[in-house]
Amino acid sequence: MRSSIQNQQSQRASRRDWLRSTGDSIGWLALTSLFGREAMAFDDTTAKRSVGGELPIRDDGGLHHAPKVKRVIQLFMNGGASPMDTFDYKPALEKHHGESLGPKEKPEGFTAPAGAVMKSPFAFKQYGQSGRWVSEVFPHQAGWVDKMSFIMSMASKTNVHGPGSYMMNTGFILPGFPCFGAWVSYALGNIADNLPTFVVLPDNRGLPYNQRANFSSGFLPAKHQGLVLDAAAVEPIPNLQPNQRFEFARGASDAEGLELLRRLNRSHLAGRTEDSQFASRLSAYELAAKMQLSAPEAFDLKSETQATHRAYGVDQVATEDFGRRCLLARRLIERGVRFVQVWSGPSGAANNWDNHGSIIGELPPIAKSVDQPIGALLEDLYSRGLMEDTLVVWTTEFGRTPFAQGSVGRDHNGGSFVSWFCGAGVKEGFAYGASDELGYQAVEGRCYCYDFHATLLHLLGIDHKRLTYRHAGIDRRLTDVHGRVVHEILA
Amino acid sequence: MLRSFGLNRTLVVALVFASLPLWSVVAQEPITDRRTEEQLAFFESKVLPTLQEKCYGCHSHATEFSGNLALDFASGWRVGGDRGPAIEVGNPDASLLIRAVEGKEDGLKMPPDDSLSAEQISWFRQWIEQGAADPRQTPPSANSDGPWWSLQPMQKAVPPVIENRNVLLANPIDAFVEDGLVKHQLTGNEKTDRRALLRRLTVDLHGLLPTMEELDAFVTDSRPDAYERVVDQLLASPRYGERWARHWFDWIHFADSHGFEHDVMRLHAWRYRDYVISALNQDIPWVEWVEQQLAVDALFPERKDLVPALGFIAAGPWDQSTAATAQTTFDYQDRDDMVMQTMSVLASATVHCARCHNHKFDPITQADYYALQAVFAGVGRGNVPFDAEPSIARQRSEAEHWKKAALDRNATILTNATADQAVSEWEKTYHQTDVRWEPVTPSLVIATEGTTLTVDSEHTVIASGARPERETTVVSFETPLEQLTGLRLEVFKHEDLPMAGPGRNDNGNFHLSEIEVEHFRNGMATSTIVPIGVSSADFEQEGWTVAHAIDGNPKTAWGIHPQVSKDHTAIFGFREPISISKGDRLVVQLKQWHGGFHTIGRFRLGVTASPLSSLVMIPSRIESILKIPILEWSPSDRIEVAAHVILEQSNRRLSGLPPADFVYAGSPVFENLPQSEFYKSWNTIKKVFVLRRGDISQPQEEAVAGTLSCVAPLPARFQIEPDQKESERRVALARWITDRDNPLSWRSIVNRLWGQHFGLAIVDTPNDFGRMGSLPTHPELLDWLALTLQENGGSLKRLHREMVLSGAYCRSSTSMDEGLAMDPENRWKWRGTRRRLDAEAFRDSILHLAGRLDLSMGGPAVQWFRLGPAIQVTPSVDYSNYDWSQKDGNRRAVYRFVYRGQQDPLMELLDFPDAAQLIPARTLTSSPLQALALWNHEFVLYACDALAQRIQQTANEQGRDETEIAFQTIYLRKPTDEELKLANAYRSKFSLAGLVRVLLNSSEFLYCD
Repeated sequence: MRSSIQNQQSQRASRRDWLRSTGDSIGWLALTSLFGREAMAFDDTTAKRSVGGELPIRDDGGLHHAPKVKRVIQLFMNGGASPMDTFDYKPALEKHHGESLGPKEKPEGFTAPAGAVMKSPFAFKQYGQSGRWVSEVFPHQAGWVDKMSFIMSMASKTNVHGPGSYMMNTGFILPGFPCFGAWVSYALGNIADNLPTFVVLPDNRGLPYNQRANFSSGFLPAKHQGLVLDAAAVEPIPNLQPNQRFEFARGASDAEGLELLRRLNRSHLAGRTEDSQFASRLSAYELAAKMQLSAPEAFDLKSETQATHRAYGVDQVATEDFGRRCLLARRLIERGVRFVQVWSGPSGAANNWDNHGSIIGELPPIAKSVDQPIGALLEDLYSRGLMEDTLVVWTTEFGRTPFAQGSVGRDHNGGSFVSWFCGAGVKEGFAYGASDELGYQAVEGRCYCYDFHATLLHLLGIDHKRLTYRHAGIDRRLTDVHGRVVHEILA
Repeated sequence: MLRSFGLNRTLVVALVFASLPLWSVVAQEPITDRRTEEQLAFFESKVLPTLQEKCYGCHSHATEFSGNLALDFASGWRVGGDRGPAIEVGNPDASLLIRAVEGKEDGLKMPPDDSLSAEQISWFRQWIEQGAADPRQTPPSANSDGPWWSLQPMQKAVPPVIENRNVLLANPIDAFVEDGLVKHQLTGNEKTDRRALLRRLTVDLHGLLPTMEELDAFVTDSRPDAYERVVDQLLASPRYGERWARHWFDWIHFADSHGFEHDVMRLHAWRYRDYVISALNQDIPWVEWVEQQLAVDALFPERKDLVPALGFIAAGPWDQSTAATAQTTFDYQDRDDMVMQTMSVLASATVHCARCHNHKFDPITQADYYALQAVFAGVGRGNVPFDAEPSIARQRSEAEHWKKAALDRNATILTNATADQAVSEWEKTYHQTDVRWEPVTPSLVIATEGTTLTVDSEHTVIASGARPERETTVVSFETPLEQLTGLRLEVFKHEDLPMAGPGRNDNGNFHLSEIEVEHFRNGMATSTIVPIGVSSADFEQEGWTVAHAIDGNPKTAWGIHPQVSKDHTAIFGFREPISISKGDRLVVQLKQWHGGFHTIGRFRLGVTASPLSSLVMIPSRIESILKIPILEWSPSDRIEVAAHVILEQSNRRLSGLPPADFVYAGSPVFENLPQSEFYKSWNTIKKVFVLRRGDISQPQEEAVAGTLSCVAPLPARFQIEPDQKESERRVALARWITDRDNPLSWRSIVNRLWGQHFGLAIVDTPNDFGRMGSLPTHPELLDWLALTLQENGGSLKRLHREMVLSGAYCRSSTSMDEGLAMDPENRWKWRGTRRRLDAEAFRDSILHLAGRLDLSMGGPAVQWFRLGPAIQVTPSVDYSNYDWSQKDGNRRAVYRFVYRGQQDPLMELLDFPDAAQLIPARTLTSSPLQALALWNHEFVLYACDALAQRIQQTANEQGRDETEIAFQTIYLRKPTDEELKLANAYRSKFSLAGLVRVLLNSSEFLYCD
């Protein structure tokens, strides 16, 4: 398995060589500076203009320092997963149950005035050597706490889904900014050139809040946006094959057509060799052809054993969808996709983590749908040795109130929530930060998305302060003007 | 001497850099005797390098002012940031700077990811102890002389005289360009050939590739002005407006849905799109363009058909969820978008960077920013009613004029000849018709909130039992009448009611918020709403008229206080008669939603078939006047009667007009969130405060409407009294932008046009003319263009013409070693611009060449997708399996529905931008996924088929070879022998459509040289 990854890396190198060879007559520098507006990206480590829209990557694969992590799977619990009913055990909630301790006025972004303090309806137990408390809704993840690093003090600047999702994905509460995956694609490019760099696997019941805008490349070039795939589709990658009703596009027309196209394009290139847009167009078609060959295999879950399917829960109704997407995520990561985002829950009022109406009624089913697949994913990644350079992160856009909404639900709360990291580069069996007695506000080591993203970028070999893109007069960063690497959780 | 020097200098700094944070304008201490040689040397050798190494990264003008603290000049640390002064001179232990770098206290450690050596800390300590001598007396950005280039007045330079006659000099533009080339030791390319030129020009002006026939006509036109003729022809075509409107939409982040969590469709946004296309095609002057889009309602009040221009204000995204749950946050955020868009696009100023603190680089203060927020304090986004048809618009505004006069009791108008005439005719007829009312026998009465309802033998509905705050009463009935024209509601006093009623409020009053009538046809489970046109009542409480019961606004209502303990009647005339068949049911809803027990105690409904014109209730006060002989009427009696007559007439006229059209726009009058009360038009101007650090919980002083304070000689704050209409604020901003002395706005627009024509703009950051933006490559040319636009009456078309007729535009794009070495990006325009077709030009062009492009203009946005089930209010959007052969699929792309959160995958892969951002210029990329789309996407394959059919037809007609025609159609040239051989071989195996597919994917087709 490891050797196939190395192969992919050498393919990457050869692609660059190939690009170089197509632009030899005028010289590499002239070629690169002509890559349209993409060439406006600067990297201040070298103060040199970026190369063909790609930043100069170090030999060790990092941008600013050696990376601990090469690939990331993010599990996004859409709707605001309740911390005090999952990972943030709060005995004080039992003590104060029924007391009116919440804010008297409806805070901005709450959907209703705060009710009385509500204890968690779920039993908590300590697990592993680390003794992390986990509620009964996550029996499988509980088994992995000794491998995980928790941030118990995540916080958001908003209590509203749209801005909250933007914040956790792009670092801003407004639309139009590049998401984490787009920044990573822009910074590091792909690992394997026969598959996309950044893949998004939404819940098959629907897109999350903000729809596809959570995966946008914002002002970065469009090619960095997330490729949103329907994991259950016969052909998840769009346009891989033509619709067979077009006779002229069937069979050998594909290979021979691309060959004729290559010849036409190469002769058109003569006299324009300095212009990198033509060279990269040629390369795009070459890579497209490679993708046509590799993608079907990557997406073919049938080649996995029955045991694997069972382990991920693909054989059960409750876990089928999320399990399938976790399994697919593993296959894609394994084959050199750099970043895969797996979403749990669509937008809207049901089937997600936005449990306004009833924690006891709404949380267990959505928790069940992800728990076994997540456990299986971690097991699989470790046993295949992929965790040496893969990181899995579990996130949501904000937490929920310790106060009841209605009688048994919980409202939005940007004050505190939990995120965990597992795999390469992070401590095992560790927790950082804490929320207050009720779990209402993060009080110790509060982390915003800026710190979260800064840490992820750091693990990938990127200094978040030096990854910039000039847009509308500002050198934009994923972390805006904030961000602190949470060194405490780093191994 | 020293002191006065210090003060003067401070004053100068304060004036020039009125923008910088507080510390930049605090009086600087005169340089004193602390400034000893020795201490300064120590500072320079030890302290300064440490500051630069460890602190400047986050606390300097070149980077950021983290925590609002600057450490790159003395005032920076004196005033300090959010935590106060950084240094207490003479006392290192008490100095924040020392405490931070020592990092012994919780939450106070600097730099966060790094630390200072013990030695470095000791230097800091020594320096502070000895008096903190600091020679850095002015902020670093104060080093330049005079205002930044973009704030200096425009100057019309005489085009430079060029000696060398061998260069392309088509018009004055070329003199400036040539001057730049000479200065950079570059030689401009020769004029390109007609084929390349026509492709470049037609794509540029129309977004379409030319056809074979068009090229033939151009090539064979031997007249000296052949090119000029083509340019004029293209500019006169409506295709021009369609193309350039799309650029405008990129610039202003216009789309057809909200974005955010609730990505609601804006089904009326297209009216603005049509406005833009039409305004461009009509070439309205630039000043009007700005005035209309910011304030057409105030500046062109008679042009109701132009209301869609206000779509500009509402172009950007809108967060319904925040609007509903976090209204203060929302208001500031919503206006922020308007300010950012207006100022970035129209003035190339990054004002939005001054939301939390003064602008870090440009002389823009936080106060300026909030002054601009105050400009938009009276507008919201939503559907705004207007009349697209000018004659309807005229009738409506006339009727509204009369209505207003009646409501205002305007004596002048109500006694003019027209009014007198109307009144005397009414007097002749008002008593002539008797209305026959048929009492309603309810088959069902329901109170949704718990009131007990009973019906007595007189058909009166009696409320008793529980007394809820609000109530909705539903009455269902059948009627023997075959036609209905109106409904009567009688409310009755009764001793059982408080104050004898007729309401259940303690004072006997009630409030009827809305009345709604539904018509269920026999056996049908769904109904149609019966629109009510006019309403009248015998008595109306002041401010609570019966018209409020039919205005669609649940916050207003009909009431009868103080005339309690009396019966009252209201009549509702339908907009048009409805016919009734046996078994039909009518359901009337009486919404009594005001609260405070303002519900109805006793009522009865009646229906009628009498003529609509007779369905007017004469109010009791009018009845009593009418009992007096006319000659004895007092002047106020006359006014009262006239007001009644005119009001009734104008209501009738209004209800006879077709319903208003809507545009999604920014306006003081709008509708949004139809199911909720959160976002309806407000009639007051919201208060805007300067927010400390942009935080809504830290409001400072109230903001006064205004704009940038750094643009001399224009005023920074508008002279608008608090009681003036809010539109005056928008008018003032429009006037500021269009002022001939505004050095930002005129340069801004001509720079955009240039950038679109030449690939790279003169200032290649079109939204930012500030210090973080680029400098102009051709500053004199920029000013020349801006002033030319002013002189030509603001005609964009004439400016386009000037640009595309220039020799610089017509150059060949051939690569020259010298040019590539000196100026690879072609900033100096030594060669023609080479560009890929963008998303719209690609698809429109293929359809055009195939003869399939549907050139009909305007109308609702065409949806190249199928709507699937919605989650809450956001439908799912399915772009797969769209049938491209249907009419809508062949419309120009500018007419498509742009779904902000659910973009069209093909357009997106071809670099259609994220519509949540202002996009001054698109980034064009190539990627494997894009290649796959161009190769296999359903639309492309459909178009290949269509184009192949067309080529076949042409070949047949001309009796020529299909491959040759294919090359001529797609490349506008004949194939070479080699190409012919290869192409024929492929065609013979995979058909002509297969060959077309290859050609459409080729660089020669996709790029314009």
